[in-house]
Amino acid sequence: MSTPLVWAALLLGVATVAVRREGVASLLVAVQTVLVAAGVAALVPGDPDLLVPAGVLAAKALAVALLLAAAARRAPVPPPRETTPPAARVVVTLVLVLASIPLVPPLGLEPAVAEDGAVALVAAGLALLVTRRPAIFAVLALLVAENGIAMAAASVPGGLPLAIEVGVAVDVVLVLTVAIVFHGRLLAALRGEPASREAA
Amino acid sequence: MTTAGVLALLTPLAPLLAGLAALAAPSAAAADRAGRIGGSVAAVPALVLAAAAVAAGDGGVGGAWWALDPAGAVFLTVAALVGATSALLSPEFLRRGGPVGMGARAARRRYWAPFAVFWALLLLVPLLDNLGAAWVVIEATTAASALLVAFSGRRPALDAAWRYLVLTGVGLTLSLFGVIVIAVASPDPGDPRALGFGRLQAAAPLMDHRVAVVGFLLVMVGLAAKAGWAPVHHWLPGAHGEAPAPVSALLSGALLPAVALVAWRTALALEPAVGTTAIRAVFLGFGLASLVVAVPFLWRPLPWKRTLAFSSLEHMGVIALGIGFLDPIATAGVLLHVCGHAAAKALGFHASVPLLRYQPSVARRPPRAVGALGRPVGWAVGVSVGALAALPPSPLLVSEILILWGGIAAGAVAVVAVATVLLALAFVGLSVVLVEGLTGRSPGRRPRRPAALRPLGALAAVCTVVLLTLTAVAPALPGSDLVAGLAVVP
Repeated sequence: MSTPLVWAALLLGVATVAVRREGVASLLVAVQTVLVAAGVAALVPGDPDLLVPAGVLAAKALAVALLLAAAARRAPVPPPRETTPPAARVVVTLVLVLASIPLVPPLGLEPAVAEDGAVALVAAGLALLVTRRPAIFAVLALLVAENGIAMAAASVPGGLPLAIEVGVAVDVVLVLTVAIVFHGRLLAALRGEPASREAA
Repeated sequence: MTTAGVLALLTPLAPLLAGLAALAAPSAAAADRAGRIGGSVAAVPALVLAAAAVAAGDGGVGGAWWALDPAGAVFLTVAALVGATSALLSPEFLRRGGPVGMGARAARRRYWAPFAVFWALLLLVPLLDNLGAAWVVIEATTAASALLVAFSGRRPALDAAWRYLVLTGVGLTLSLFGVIVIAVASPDPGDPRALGFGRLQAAAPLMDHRVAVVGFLLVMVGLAAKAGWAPVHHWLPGAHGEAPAPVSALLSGALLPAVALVAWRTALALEPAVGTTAIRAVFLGFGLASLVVAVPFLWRPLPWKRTLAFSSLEHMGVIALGIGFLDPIATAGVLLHVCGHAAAKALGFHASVPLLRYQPSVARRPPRAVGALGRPVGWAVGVSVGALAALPPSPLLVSEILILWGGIAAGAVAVVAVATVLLALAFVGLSVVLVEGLTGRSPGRRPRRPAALRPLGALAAVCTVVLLTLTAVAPALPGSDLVAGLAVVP
């Protein structure tokens, strides 16, 4: 995976921590997911064994983008007031990211920049979970961390067993779907509508 | 395909077929009949397979994608029986409660489909001899069970399900990173069998120690979140409290031990690379933390299902201690504890259905004078709490003694001392719940149709026999083949 792509994915993760609007944050994470899939796809000519994992990631990226778009189309409710200013959130994220990379010993992923990028994205996901209050950011945090893991999985010498890659992708889409459904029901409950009328 | 292979295939398939039958049913009553009958029948392949594994002895039975040793057969049996009783008693729950504004038939579809999927996945976990595959299945249980936790559609249930989804999702994401790290550390990560527990154990001596420790810790933190071990347990009280009672029984009696089994197998497989000190530290840390967090809540006057939820936290802590001592006597105690806890906890959760109906205050306060609600309710609550409190002749008293004894044999005297004090405090707390629950004046009303309590009465009778049988067979466990199976990976 190329260095500019790893940096781009990481910058998108940090930007998600800073932006105010949920729709923009969802868009950034969707772009990040597509970027990671594209990064793996770009490796296929040099390593044909990555074709199927790249396809799996592409399908996952499409599903994630569609689900996030569906969630963003809901009628908004005023989000809970966030007490942490954006600058402080970014600082916390950068501290977590910069602290996590040296704490983790060399794992053997190739290239090393992808290994650092994967660790950084997982840390950025945790920072997003901790620093943002609105419920949708918990889902976005999971996706950012999972993008880091997808980056790590694509960097394993020889690749991971395909069954595991497919299973993980299916699980992520499943959990994301359920989370979006719940988010909708929670929004409905906040608006005073019966939760059972809310559809995905 | 061998007979065992067919049974292994049918084990997760049978609940799915029962769920399909319930979905296709033309009415709510027919759906409940399909779920009840299908659920009872669906447990049979798993029970027969478990019996075959025990009869086969040391190596158990296995195939291309699965393996079941005698110890794993215990966990499979627990998942099968808890699931079957939940399926049998779900119609009682469904007749009384459903999502806001939803018709009976739609409510059945919303219940039986994820129930079938959840149960099928739980039955699959003990069969898997691959860490990666186990992760995929455990993560899938999150999606199915979260839908069930939120079944009522009320705001507290949605909040509980959301918290469950997010916290276990984050944990399992970290765990997945750990799986990848372990895969990288093994000789041939691309081999589909590289993450098999046996292959991992064989490759462990060649793994880089630091990398293996990082992978192990990440996997354990994630599985601990799912197993409900403190300090990553925050979803547990809410989810167990808000879920339908039959689902709470599955969450507590089957899911938590299944995840603990995967954590156990992972630890055994990686022990040559990680070392026994790290394994002990992790499991004993989770065990003591769970006891420390749970015990104060067992002294508080909590709603009935919340009391049972914190009791689950306590007993999962005991199981973690038993695993962490890495001693055969403690291992025997863990197997006994898993079985006894499942029986007592399932009974307690199923008793909450009539409790909530005839004494609605148990949604906010502990139960009082439950005997006035009918002999089955009194019996069920009494047996459940008495067993969970480890009152003799509860098998949980015997299992806790075995686990603490194993801890002393392993040289962890300080941990055993602290655990003993905490368990004694838990005993007192639950004993107070028992005494206050059986005495005093009932704030509720007597059932007008006592016959409606017959299923609960039958379950209470069966659980009593099961608990007494477990106590009776307990002395035979140390040194048996069942225990030996958890000293080595399948």
